Amino acid sequence: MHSKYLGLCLTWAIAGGALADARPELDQSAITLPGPFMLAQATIDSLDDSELRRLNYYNRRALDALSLVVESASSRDIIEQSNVNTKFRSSISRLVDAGRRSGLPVETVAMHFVEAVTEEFGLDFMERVGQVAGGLDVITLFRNVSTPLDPRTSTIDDGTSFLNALAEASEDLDLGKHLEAPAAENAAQAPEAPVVPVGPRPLPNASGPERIIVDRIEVEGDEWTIVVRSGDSLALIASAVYGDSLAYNIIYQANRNVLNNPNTLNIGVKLRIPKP
Amino acid sequence: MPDFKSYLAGIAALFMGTAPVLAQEVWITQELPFVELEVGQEFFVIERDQDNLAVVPADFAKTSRPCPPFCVQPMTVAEGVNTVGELELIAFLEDVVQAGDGYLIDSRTPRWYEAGTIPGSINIPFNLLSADAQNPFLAPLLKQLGGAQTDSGDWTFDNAPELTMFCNGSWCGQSPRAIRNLLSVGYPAEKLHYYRGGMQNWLILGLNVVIPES
Repeated sequence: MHSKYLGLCLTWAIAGGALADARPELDQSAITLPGPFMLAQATIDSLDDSELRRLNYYNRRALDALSLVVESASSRDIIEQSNVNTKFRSSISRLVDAGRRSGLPVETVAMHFVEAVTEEFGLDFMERVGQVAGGLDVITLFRNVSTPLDPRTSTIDDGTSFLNALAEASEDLDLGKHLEAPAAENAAQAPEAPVVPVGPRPLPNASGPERIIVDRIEVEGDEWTIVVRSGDSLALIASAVYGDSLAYNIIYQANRNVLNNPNTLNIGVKLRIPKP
Repeated sequence: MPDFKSYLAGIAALFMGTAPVLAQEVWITQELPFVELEVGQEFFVIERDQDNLAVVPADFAKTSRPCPPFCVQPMTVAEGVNTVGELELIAFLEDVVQAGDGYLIDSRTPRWYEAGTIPGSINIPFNLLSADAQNPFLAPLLKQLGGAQTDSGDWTFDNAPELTMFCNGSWCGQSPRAIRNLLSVGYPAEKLHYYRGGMQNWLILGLNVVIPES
């Protein structure tokens, strides 16, 4: 149910933004948000001043962290970038946690944040992130997060179920005819979400070393693992599996129990590779 | 035209995932990952830096500033005034400052305060509390702190707020001086606390500072 609303809300946001070019009278800086957005706002408006201050504190923090991610996207200092990415994800965790404590579902918090991102960075934000980093992969930039106090579990949501829910929601939508075209476009695209393979597949244009890495990855039940050999690095594995060497931090974070820092891999250590 | 599918999936993945790639690793105590406080109309958080490789800023890593004036301070600044650590300071913020019954006081000069201070603190530079009769700031400050002057010029402090005072660290004499000055005009010792560790210890623990808004 909640995913449907998230889908609706995001479709509205994207549809509204897409039309800013086609219909110049739409002021992109003050998008009037109809329907489902009002619902999200109503819940937030029901918070008392104190809770609102708390939510906005963490919202602001996440926005600032996101700015740093964008700024450092073209940085060569991967340690610094890893820290920046980590801080961003942590700030999202805390935002979700703060929302939860006020009784807000994750989707409402997400909506509130998306609105703030849109207001602050504009709807072409993601495109700009991609350009700044020379094609930084948005999907791997935003990774699954948890709240700070959760116990460790081993399930990873690959996002497919969300895309399907979005498609469903878009079909139900009565947007009015001037907004139908973009919604239909998104609905048509969403069901094409790829089926997750059992083991990793080499990415198109993968290099020789990357293909070898992919070959070496073992599937153990629900997990992917690889045993470190001489010459391996987290960046290479990340590049082979996620198509982005800057996403090495994902592997690092999933293996903190065996890794002290992301630059030192000991031969023979078995690493867990989170599925992309 | 942006790749909306990616955008949506990106935002969705951000919020919908359940697998913990991160957890707060550096807590304050075993029970306390971080502290949320609201003082007046302001919300803030106290927590530790989560980067295991973080080190204290260079300014606060110096070991040997000239003494005098930067001399080692005793554990007990004056009789009846207790010396506290970080956890007591945090509890003081939660129980006393939040309730409006006291203040956390940064005794350093404004330049230091504005460069970064402990969240929730206010700045009363130590020299403003000088017990020198020539000090024009003393009377108004003491009044603000709940003091009333009798005909003989003495001060009484019924219902005085509880104060925790700090400065740069255990080599800093500013807050001890401020505390002794307050005692000399009759401030009740049991309402004064000395955070000896000061800014240096606060930072060594990776606790966050705030840049006060002017």
